[in-house]
Amino acid sequence: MASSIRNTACIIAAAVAAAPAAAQPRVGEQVRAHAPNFQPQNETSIVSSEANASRIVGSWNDYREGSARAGVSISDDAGQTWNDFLLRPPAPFRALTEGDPMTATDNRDGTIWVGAIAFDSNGGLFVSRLDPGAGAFGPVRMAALAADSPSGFIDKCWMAAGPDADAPGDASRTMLYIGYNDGVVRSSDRGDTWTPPTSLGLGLGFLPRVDPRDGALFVQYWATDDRILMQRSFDNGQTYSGPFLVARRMDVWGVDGTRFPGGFRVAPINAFALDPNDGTLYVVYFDTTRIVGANRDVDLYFTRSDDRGATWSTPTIIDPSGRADQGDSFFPWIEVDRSGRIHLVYYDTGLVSQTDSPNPFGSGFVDAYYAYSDDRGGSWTEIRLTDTTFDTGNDGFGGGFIGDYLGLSVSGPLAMPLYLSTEDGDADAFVRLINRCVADFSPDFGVLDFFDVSEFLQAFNAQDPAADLAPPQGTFDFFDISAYVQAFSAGCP
Amino acid sequence: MSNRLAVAPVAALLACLAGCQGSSGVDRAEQALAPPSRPGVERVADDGGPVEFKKRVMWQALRGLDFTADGVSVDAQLRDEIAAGRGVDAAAGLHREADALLVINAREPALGLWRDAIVIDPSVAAYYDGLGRGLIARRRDAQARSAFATAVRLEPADAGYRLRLAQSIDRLGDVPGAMEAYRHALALDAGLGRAHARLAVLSYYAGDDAGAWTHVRRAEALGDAVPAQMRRMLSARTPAPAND
Repeated sequence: MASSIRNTACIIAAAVAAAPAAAQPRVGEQVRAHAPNFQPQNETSIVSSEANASRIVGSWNDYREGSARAGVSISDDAGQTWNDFLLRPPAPFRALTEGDPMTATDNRDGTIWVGAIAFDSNGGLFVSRLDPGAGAFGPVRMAALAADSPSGFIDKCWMAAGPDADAPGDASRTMLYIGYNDGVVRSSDRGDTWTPPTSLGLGLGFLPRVDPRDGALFVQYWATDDRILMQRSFDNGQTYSGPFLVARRMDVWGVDGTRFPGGFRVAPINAFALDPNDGTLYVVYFDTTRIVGANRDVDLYFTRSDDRGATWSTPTIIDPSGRADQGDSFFPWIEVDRSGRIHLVYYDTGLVSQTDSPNPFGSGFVDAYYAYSDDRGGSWTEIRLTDTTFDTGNDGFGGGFIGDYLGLSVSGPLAMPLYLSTEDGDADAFVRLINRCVADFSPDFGVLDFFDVSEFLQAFNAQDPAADLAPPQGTFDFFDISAYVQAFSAGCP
Repeated sequence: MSNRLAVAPVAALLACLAGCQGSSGVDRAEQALAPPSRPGVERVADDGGPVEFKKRVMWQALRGLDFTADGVSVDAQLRDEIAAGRGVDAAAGLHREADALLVINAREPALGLWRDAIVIDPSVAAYYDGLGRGLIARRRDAQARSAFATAVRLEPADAGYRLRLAQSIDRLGDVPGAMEAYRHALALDAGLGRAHARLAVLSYYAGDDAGAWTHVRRAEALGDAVPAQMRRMLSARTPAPAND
């Protein structure tokens, strides 16, 4: 083996001026993000931080105890291994049903938060913090109580963290926000105490994002009619301007899934992200493009704002593989990394010919996909995530529930979609490591060194597909080595 | 992995034997985003209502009302309990209070107040309309259709009630039914730009591009925008008529 590696290394010197490096990111093996069990996991959220790209925290609804709980899992090796547990609120606030996970990070120091809802009159929003360097989450705090809720019922929450708008350059000051049906609550002490909610009015899926440049807060949501709206705050969530119209939907429905194959429910809630470099805002949602017979063709739509949400581009269909007419795409989640690349995860039904189902049970056949765009959404490259198309009838709910959304994290050159699949017979949460640093072969992801070269050469000599970096695919030759050398020379983005 | 694959079907079978009897999947009428209970886990409280909180909240808010395709009716057994001697003035106050709650997304308390107003005075269309708006916000489209249908039955000349009935039918996916309902609303008030905007989209879905353009023009003339992406796709399929 050593001789073989030496021989290959000799070729490297001659390969520097050859073919361009492969543009496709490296895609890791599919990994279950929790210990195996035969109860469902669904509805995912995941986060990682620029401060420590290897630490990733995933969360989901977890039914291992029968009733729903918030499952949480930590990986400190970029998603290769995981340690999972149930996050519960303090005893007085526990409920029969807990879930609707949310995650957030402050990229400046790597602090991570995870939270969920205890759905009962004694429950509410609960949050826990994982400090940088700590091995476990700290105490669980209540961010809002159902007893104090204007609606009496706390529903779908999402969380975001970032600089204090009053001192955006002060890395010791973090603002943490949670958007939910009662409005937005905020914490200026890293989640220990919280304000009462500021109502943003009628809507669902209030998703906050914080601009890391100045601490501006943006909250996007579905108005429950045909409007997707956004409000913004430049004073740490004390006052808001808007709402601004993001897009007007063509088709509107409640939460039923009759516009999709299978019996699962589908809430038309949206994904929203902010480019940390220039503040560009992006929204992806799904909507009916056409009706053919009794079937609705649902596609992903993309829109962008270059003026901090005041105006938005005309939505365009995301169709990276020309498959938009063949099935339905739904449950998108987007993130933007430090280079401006937009990352997207979603479900699609197009690999199996199937019809919309009016019944709240039964099978639909679905795949998870990852896609990315380097031109602000002008074009997309798609990668299939699921090894095999999965049957939603194995969701543990008679086919009625595969969650309401998916999650995706980005940090450094890494992206990690967290998605449900039933391909092992029950609903589990899976990840794949998407590494845009093509030369990054050794497990200390995000760093290029001798070990990466060594690992590549071993993979090349073993004819591991991971080393097949240049066409023609399936052959291991000079061009693969050339592609590696160029990628190594270019460094990690 | 191999053990897991071998065991999974057996486990799924056992899980189904334990909890799937009679299950017809998740209750799609329960339109909160809270995770649902698994089949077999749901329990019933002493008062006959569900134990699960999200269902209980809605059960309490709507208790006493029966929803059918024809409309909403009041459960006579609960009328005395809920009305409790309150008069029509009280009902009007509840209606105003419910509207204020809906503005801040407090849907469930608002629904409960509209329920009370209807029980006290079931002859007022505005209360059913409010109930329908609250149900739309809670994404209970079929029940909302019942509520709006009742409002329309009580005040058939009100174009706003007709429009919202059409919108609820639209959300339920009944394209011909929604188009007919929007046209009924426009017959009462030709200035309903929202009705033209929705007819533009539904005509586009139906492949009637000439009709879609007609409604696009009328909606825009009335100051109501159609979805920009639909307008662009319509233009790509059929250029705008010369007088557009």
